[in-house]
Amino acid sequence: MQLTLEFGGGLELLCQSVKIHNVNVDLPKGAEKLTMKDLLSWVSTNLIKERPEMFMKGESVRPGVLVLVNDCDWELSGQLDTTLEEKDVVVFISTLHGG
Amino acid sequence: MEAGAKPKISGARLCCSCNQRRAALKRPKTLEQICRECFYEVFEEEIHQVIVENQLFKPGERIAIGASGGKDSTVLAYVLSELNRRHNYGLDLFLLSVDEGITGYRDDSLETVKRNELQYGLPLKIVSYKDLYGWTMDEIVKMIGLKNNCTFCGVFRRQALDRGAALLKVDKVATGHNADDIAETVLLNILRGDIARLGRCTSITTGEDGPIPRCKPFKYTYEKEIISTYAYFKKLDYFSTECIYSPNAYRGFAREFIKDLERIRPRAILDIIKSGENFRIATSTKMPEQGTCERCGYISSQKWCKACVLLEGLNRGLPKLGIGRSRGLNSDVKKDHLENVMELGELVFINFGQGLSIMAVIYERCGKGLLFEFGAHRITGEGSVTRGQHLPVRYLVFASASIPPMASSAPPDSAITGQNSRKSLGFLANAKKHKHSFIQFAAMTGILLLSIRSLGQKYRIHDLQEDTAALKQEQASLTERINYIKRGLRHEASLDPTGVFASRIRLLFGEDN
Repeated sequence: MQLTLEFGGGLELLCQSVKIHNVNVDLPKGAEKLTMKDLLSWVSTNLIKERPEMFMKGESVRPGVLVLVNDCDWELSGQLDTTLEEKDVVVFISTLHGG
Repeated sequence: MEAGAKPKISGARLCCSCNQRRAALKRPKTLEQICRECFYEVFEEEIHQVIVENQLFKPGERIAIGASGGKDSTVLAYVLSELNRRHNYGLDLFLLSVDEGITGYRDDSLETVKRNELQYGLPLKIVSYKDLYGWTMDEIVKMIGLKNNCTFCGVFRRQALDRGAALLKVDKVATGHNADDIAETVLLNILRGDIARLGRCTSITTGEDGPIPRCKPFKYTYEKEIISTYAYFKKLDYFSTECIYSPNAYRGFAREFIKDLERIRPRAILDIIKSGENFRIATSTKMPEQGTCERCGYISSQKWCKACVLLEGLNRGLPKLGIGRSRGLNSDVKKDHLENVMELGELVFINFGQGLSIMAVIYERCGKGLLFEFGAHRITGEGSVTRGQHLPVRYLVFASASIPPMASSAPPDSAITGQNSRKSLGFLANAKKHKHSFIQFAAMTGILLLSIRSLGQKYRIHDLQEDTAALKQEQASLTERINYIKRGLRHEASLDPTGVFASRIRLLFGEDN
């Protein structure tokens, strides 16, 4: 599945300072759709190169990291249960860095 | 989420305000689902309400916006210039930046501020640590390391902002502190037991009695709303790199805790601020008196302001000065307060006068003074105690046993290296820490024991000689007595006519006679 991932607010530093990643994520075995939960585990294995604790906490993102799916707050779409579709844009912004 | 629902399809969830557009954000403050356009309106209107209700600005005032290039100050600069125009505040706005001198961080973020200057048409003033204090943060960190660097930076920045504001001749400084920041500060002040700051950290305007008051128009604004929707959706130009020197900061822990709370219950942030506002400080609490620094004239509750103390430490090569407990220059350590400065387990040097002095470990704090431990001994008496760089102070020393006789073997005062140890340590841990002193101490004890032993041996030899003489004398007198007895017996034997007794005596005494 083709997705565009964008990291901001300092999170890009965890993936070699690249802000925008066009990626191809495979569906997990036996699953019919890709959820944010699947995407997060894919991102932490494949994109996060350092300090994974700045991005993840447990199986979700660290509190203070904002997630937008197609410019919409993921709190409105079910957070980890949000299903993703072809060409979706997912944005992660950290609010943990100074203002 | 119920199975099969496709929440993100357009129209699935509508803005609860306009009921037309797709909701894009869940507001942490109200849990409302709201679309982008309505959000901008509500967000700006709320800040306008805060400004009006709290009378933050008066028409015609000159206002400096503390601009770091980060998200909060960038959004603040945008919102204030927007509201100023829309609601005719009649304010003269300026951007004021502090250059701490951190390569790879501040130099980059200042570029952002310079762009903001052009984008919002606000004049910019930059004041640098180098110009104000003669030191950049890079140089300070090189000297003191990464442990207390944020203390320096924070103290210097606060003052630098005031000085920059004075240069701009503004009436007020507006900073981008948001609700999350204030909740963090409330928690930190509780954790530090800082009553004076706890009392004022939730005020929306501070320093009204000072030359340049400060205000926080974002006091009730969630960081999430500032960053996500504003800086991201409106694509404001902001800089978002973590300070390269900050990973050790204490504040980070409070920050993370607040974010954890927010996830569980978003209102927690406003509730913490509310709690902070409602703290009533007992009128009997002694608050530090506000005065001015004797050196630079900045407001200070001490003789010298914090920045001057830190600076003095840097310039004298003693960067620890002014960090942590008050010590050194500003520490008005009265003699009777010495016990509060010294720590349990600390190695100190006690001088009893008349050349009598020992090195001991602070063992216990009791009503009248300190209890010291010297090896297995407790010491009693009144002596002066020296530690690290402190001057000797008369001190009562308590306990049970008497002072061991070691008058002449004590080392000179200068040999003391007992530095301030942070926590109460065991005797062994202390010995490890103060290796140098401890080795000296062990050697001293060894020498003392050896000399006592040799003295003892000398006395024993003398005693033995006396004993030998006495024994010799006794031996002589015994021999004399035996000879006398022998003579008497022989005389008696010669009187015996049979001769049996005489032969028997001859057999007993041998053939000598």
